[in-house]
Amino acid sequence: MILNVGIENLVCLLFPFLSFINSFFFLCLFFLYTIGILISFCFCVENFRHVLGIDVDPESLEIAGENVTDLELDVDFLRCDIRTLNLKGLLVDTIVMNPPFGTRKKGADMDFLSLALKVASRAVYSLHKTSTRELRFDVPQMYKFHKKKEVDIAVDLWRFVP
Amino acid sequence: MRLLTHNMLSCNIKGVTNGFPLKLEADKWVTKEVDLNADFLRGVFPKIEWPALVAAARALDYGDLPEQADGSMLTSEDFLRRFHHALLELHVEEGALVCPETGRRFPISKGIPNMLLHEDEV
Repeated sequence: MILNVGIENLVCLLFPFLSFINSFFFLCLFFLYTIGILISFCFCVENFRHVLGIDVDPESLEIAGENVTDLELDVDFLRCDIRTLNLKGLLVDTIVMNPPFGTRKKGADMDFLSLALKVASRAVYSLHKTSTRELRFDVPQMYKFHKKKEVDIAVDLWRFVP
Repeated sequence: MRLLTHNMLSCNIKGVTNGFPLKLEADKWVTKEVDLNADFLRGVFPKIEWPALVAAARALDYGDLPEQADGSMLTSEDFLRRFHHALLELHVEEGALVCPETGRRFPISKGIPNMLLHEDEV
């Protein structure tokens, strides 16, 4: 179950933020750049009613699809490069994403972030690489350029308000 | 893909100005029942482009939505039920989304629309 990776940590970390945002969240959109480990978190919060998962990679979408089926969650998926994503208006309340870390292509994480802030009306939660070990993020070997079988990467979770 | 998602998407080809709504061509769709949440429906109603939802529902042989709708109808349980069904219970599995301006087809396969662009469209 890939969805279980790191989720407990993540949920604990997020709940303090969420306790005061109890108003109407209708939509959560996140970019499954790796694999949608963040889906479960969205459903921990009762007010999330519609979740759209976006990725360019069909394999990630397929795995995420299997996971949500196993967990009996309702999630819609879309295959798209978010740099060309065109949603009708400011429909999305909240974005949860784990963008590319920007270590291979400098600034790649910032591209994602500026896009996310254009689409979200309420908040953007985003995971970024850091040297402070707030949260351990278990990254299995997923791409050809990954040399180690599995590594722990220290990441920070940021909350941005547009 | 549910019709709520369809209602949000517009054509993302560079230079297209009238990319909404994408025409829905459905070959296969399924119905999955979910609990009706009236608060959610009332909250989401102002964000919905009603004619686009009616057209998409018709493409799935669901013709029980009124041509026009306004906020006062949200007090009707019958209206809410139909709105709920069209918005959240119909899932398009196979088909395509067609750009109203260019006619470009975005295929839907296994429930997932593919809106990746070709190089000359970015």
